Parts: sequence; C-alpha cells; structure tokens
Amino acid sequence: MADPSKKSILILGVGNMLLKDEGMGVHVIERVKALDLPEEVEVIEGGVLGLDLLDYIEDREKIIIIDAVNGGEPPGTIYRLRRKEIDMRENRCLSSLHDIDLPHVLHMADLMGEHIDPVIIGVEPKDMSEGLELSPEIEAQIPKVIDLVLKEIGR
Amino acid sequence: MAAAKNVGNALGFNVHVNEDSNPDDISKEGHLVRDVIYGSNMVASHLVHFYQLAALDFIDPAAVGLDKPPFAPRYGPGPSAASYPYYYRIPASISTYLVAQYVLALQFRRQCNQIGALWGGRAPFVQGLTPGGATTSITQDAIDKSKALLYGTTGDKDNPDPGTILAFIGKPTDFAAWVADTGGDTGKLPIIGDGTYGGTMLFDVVAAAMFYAEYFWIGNAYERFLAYGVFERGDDSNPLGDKRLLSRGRKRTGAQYSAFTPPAKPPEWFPSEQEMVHESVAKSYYSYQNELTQKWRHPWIGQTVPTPGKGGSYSWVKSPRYKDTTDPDYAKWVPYEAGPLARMMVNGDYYAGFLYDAGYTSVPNIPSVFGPLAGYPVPQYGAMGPDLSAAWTTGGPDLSAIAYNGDSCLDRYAARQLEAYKIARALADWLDELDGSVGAVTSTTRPVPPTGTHYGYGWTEAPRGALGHWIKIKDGKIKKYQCVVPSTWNASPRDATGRAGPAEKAMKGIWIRSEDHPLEVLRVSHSWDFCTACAVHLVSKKNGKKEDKVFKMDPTYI
Repeated sequence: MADPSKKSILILGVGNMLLKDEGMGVHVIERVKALDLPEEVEVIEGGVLGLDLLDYIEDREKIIIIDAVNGGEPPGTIYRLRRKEIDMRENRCLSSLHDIDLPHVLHMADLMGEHIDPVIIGVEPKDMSEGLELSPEIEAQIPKVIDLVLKEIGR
Repeated sequence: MAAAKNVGNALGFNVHVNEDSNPDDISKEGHLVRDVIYGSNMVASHLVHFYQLAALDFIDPAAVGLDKPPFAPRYGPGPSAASYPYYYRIPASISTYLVAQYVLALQFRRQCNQIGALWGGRAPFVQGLTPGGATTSITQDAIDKSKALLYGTTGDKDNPDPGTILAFIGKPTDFAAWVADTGGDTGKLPIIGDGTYGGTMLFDVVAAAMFYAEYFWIGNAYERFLAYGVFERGDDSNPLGDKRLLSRGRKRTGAQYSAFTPPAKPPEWFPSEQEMVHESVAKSYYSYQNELTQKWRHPWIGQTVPTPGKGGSYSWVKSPRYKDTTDPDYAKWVPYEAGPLARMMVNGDYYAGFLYDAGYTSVPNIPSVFGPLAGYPVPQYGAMGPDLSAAWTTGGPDLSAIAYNGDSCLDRYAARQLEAYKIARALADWLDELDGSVGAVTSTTRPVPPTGTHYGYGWTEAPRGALGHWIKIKDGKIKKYQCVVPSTWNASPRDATGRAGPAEKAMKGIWIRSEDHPLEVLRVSHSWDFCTACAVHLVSKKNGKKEDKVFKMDPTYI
C-alpha cells in the first residue's frame, strides 16, 4: 500500500520514557526534532508502540531507529546494527499482543511483502529502573548518537 | 465511603475517575466522541487478537509453506505431522486462506486506528479524553472520513462497501446464510472470502473452531462474569434499563446448560458496587501491612509494595475478588472473569449454545472430514450437548464428564468476534448522531478541590475487560492511586482463601500432547489475551546477553 504522502526517510525513536535509560531513543528523538532537517526526513517518537509501528515503517526508503540495545557491552557503548545483526527472536511465541516488538513487526512486514532493514543506532543502558532521566554515562553519549543519526541522512 | 465529585480533573490517565458518581453532567457529544474513540480501539483490538495472536495457535504453518516467523517455529521445531497427526487440523486450503486474512486484518486494524486518531488526536495512546468529556471538536470532515473507513460512501450501513471495516467483519447472519446454502460444508469454506456472504471475521473464527471442537469443553473457568459496562450513548432500548451498549453487571451461568434455547434475558442481574472489589496478595509478590490479619484490601486502602522472592508466591499479579456472601458456590470472595465474553454474557448477547442456535448445528462432524481420529479423539460436531461418549474414542482427555457451559476457550473467541460486529455497527449509528452536532461542546471542566480528602473511582471497559481505577486526593494532591485491570481479574493467582483465578482454574487439567509444544495451553491462555509486559522492549544484539523470559509455575499448584 504505497502512500505517496509519506516522506522517504524516517527517524524513529522508541523506548519507555518511564524507565530511565530504556527511554534513550525518545530522549534522542526530542532533540533531533529541534534540528533543521531536510524536507524528505520525518521524525517520529515511537514510544512503546508495538504492532502500530508497522504503519510508520512501511513505504520508506531509509529508516533509522534509535533504541536502547542489549548487546552485552559496558553501559554507554554505542551500537550501529542492521537487521542481520540483531536477535530477530525467530523462536518466540507471543504471550500477548502487548508482547509485539520491533523484530516481530519486521516479520509481519515481510509477510506483507516488504522486507525492511532499518539502521538501528543505540546505546547499552545502565539503569532501567523507574525514572524519567538518563544515567549520566548514557546522557554523555547522546550528542554522539545524534551525530551518527545525522551522518545516516548525509548531514 | 462517599465518593467526592469533581476530583478526576487532575488525571490525564483515567478520565472516568469519579464520573461514576455523576455521569450526567457530561454532554451527549462528549459521550459520543468517547464512544467512537473507544469503539474503534476495541474493534482494532479484537481484529488483531484473533488474526495476529490466536489464529497462529490453530493454523499449521508448515502445511502452507510458511514455516518462518512470525508463524513458526513457535516452540523450536514444531511437532511433525507424522508423530502428531491431529496436533494441527485445519486443512491446508483453509490455512492458506486464513494467512491471507491475517495480512488483510492488519489493514483493517489500521483503518480502525485512523478513526480513533480522527477523534482522539492520535491512536493508540489517545490524548483527547478528559474528565468531563473529550477535547475533540466535532467536524463534518472527521464524520465523513470515519464513515468512509467504517462502511464506505454509499451510505448503507448494513451493506458496507468493499474495503471497509464493517465489510471485513461481517454480520452474524452472514454465517447462517452460508450454512443454509452449503449445509456447512467445509469444502466450500474458502468461498467465504469472495464476499458472497458479506464479511468474514466470524466465519474465520468458526473455521478455526470447527476443527478444534473439543475446546468448547476445555478452558472452563468459574462461569462468573463481570462487566463495568461501556458506551454510555449506546442503546436507549437496552432491556436491562442500562443505556450503555454493553451493560454493567455480573452474571453466573449456574447449572449445566441442557437445552439449546437461550435463558431468559437477563438471567441474573446484580447492580455492581465498587465497594465489593477487594484484592488479596496471598500468592503475589507484594506485601500488605499486617497481612496476617488484613488479607483483603479495597483499592482505596490498597497497597502495592513489590516483594520479590516472597515465600509461597508465584505471580506478579494480585488477586482481585468480588465480595458476595450470597454466591452459592464460592461464598464471600468470588473470582470473576472479565473480557468480551463477560460483557456479552452480562448484556444477554451471548449464552451457552449461542453458536449452535446461530446455525452451528449444521457444521459437519469432524470424523467425516478427516476419517477416524485415532490417537486424538474429537467430539462429534452437532452434538454440543454433554454426551460425547460415542465420538470419544481412544486416548486423549476424557471430557465426557465436563458439561458444556458456555465459558470455554472457544466461547471466548466467538463472543469476542460477535462483539466486534456489535460495536462496529453501533459506531456507524453514533457517527450519524454526531452528524447533527458539528461544533457542539464536548467537554466540561472538573476542578480539583484544593483542600480536604476526597475519594473517587472510575469504571470502564478496556478491550480485555473490566477496568477500574481508584483515587484518593488530599489537599489537591494525589495521595493514592490503584488500578484493578482486566488481566488481573483473569490471570490472578490463588487468593487468601486458596482459590485460583479464572485462568488458572481453566488451565488445570488441560491434556498436553507434548510438553515441549504445549500449544493446548496457549490456545486457552490466548482466549483471554492477557496484557503482559509491554513496558520493556529492548533490541538485543545477536549473541548478546539474553534476557529470556521464563514462565514457570510453582509445581505445588499444578
């Protein structure tokens, strides 16, 4: 279902803002939104959307997703990952509709005939307890993350 | 405790808090806009529940060349057809068809969300609801666009245009028409996709159900149904005297269902009283102050103190129960089930045997489709009565002692889809009502009293069932806020009296063919669609640390 009104490049931040570093993707997106970006770039805060992400990631030429990444490295480590490098949870079975996450949505898009391979830029979290603010180590990495995002769109 | 009025304003997250004491000062338009937002959300949820979650428990992915995610493998390598001949039973032609429906449903779910966004600003996580109404202004543009998404532009709500939500869902009578024409021949099922019999959603549920008929006897809970009611502007002619499209109340179906005639409507009706809702944390990872002497707490004095590792506990869910000393079977603390089945039961729109009355009797018996079912017996179709002995051959679960009571796994699926139609069709009428209200005021303000202690509560229905929030406000600040949500009613562990929650009761005794592939449990669990963790979704790097979720049940409770 091609949608001509959609902008070709999507920058999408996801995560739960109520759980400190888990919300880093949203923190980044808030700052990216304030920047002067090219016409063809759309910036969306995805929050904790699951299945509903599908509507936003279809029909794009390029997608950059910002999210906290569980990569096993020290907190603050910055990752740039492609689909083949993330755990696509092929063996998982959903316990609930609220269990739907990014890998699952990518599988669904496959089924709908669109293979989506986003660039995922993220940071290893330190603290995911309740709270609105980022840990200092993670906060310190945000400017670098934004630079990486801008590099992806040729800025 | 008297509920103080006008304290809900401080709360962005539950607009219903404290409206219960004074619902009439919300304008008609305020109710209508809310109903449209809630309705579109519920229909979207019901669509996704069946196709994206539940259908996968019934379709054999390998048989249709879809042995890949999100379809398979669901528990590592699936059981082979040779070793488990009746593990999956839907024929390949119907599986192929249902997979196509899976993709289509995603599109109609989006159309539902588009309606929600037109009226709520965005969907999901709508922000256009306030205590006292909704913030959205009513525009002709939003009305017209919503109608186009729901049933099209020709204007006939009962003969919707192709590509609309109502056309996809279809009317319950479509099914009866198909039965009348085909005699319920499963070989003619795929033609249901061509539009001959209107929409397809109920067909699809039945298509899955007819091959797994024993699930009408599996997954039985307590036959106790609780609904807080929703859609205030729904139905002026509701026989229960409740203006809501889906009424507030409780119901128990009681004795074994013995005749295929609906019970008198309403068979039982109690006004619900919020004071009766209490929670126990006896087997939950929470503690109460003086728990030994105060085992039950009403939400206004509720406490949520996480206590990981609490001895004897096995769940992060509390145990809400309804205090009722007159219940004949579960005196005083009664476990109630919430959800679409509960709402439809309470409203008198569903009852044990409803599908049979709707034409299900003609569905062919399964052995005639598959030949003898050695190794995994299935009850004869057509025989929705309790006598299964003739069809029940060797091995497998003995269900002959279980009376069909309308509170089963498949009843939950069926009621949900029937409700989807009921709501979607009502939505079309609400949009007509809004037609005459362009520019009307949709919201009133409810200031928070600056001093004193005030109590409030709000009840509504989420797609998954009865949702209640309770609040205590002191000197203009929130002092306490407690939520009792539908998945807590359904998935609760044993309470202070040792009584299991509805889902735990429903799962006890399920006959599992393979411990490594307990699909049988999943089918029952998914019939509720518990709202489990949606808070943390991390991207995981391959070979990175794994945070495997382990669902483990304490063996002493199995």
